[in-house]
Amino acid sequence: MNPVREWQMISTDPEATARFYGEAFGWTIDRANPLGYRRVSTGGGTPGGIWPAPPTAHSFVQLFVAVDDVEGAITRAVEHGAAVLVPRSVLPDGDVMAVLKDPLGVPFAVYTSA
Amino acid sequence: MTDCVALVVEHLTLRRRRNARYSLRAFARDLGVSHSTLSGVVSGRRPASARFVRRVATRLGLDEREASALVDRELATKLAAVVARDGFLPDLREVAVRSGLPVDALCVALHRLLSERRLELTSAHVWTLRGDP
Repeated sequence: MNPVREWQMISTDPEATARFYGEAFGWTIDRANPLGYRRVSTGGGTPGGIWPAPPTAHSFVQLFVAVDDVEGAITRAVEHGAAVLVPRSVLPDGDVMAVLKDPLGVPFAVYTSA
Repeated sequence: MTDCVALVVEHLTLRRRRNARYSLRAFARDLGVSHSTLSGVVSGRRPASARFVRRVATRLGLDEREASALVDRELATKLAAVVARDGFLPDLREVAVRSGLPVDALCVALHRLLSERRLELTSAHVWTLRGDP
């Protein structure tokens, strides 16, 4: 079984999103990483991140499913009707990730943590 | 998918078809941009800034959504050109400092390059471009 270990909000205004959750729930944001990615700590709860969306897109939340092998997970997901949006990518911090769309069109990610 | 230069050249050609004496200077005036900037962008000598792209797109009748999409595409192409340079290090904060572009805009550009399969994050330290920037 592969657990959901992280989530990501895709936001057309990431700064406003970060401010809202910080002020309303005390979540903390850390951008000190090579992508300037807003890593979100929820105080012992499931961590996540905020990634900017193009102005013409809409905002939504993605689940990040932790897997042992990203390529294998992509193959299995595609066999079950998923489509690949962003192929396997090695992020500067060493995490390996791919973004897919489930059969109903909902984007999600599979990843292995460095 | 049209980029900004292609859009400008297409409109310039159309106008010249109607009036063979229509100059680049007149076109710059009609677009509300400086002649030297327009000339530089059309010849490929200088990159189109986001402000330039948005102004040109609006003056050429693109709606807000189309104009934003054009700005996004230009930014992705700009990031690809940065990645193609010798000694590139995969750090968008560094790219932001050097280019003056916001990190968030670069993140959007990065996502576009990845989803269009124009860029591959091969390893933690190597980003590989597919095709021309």
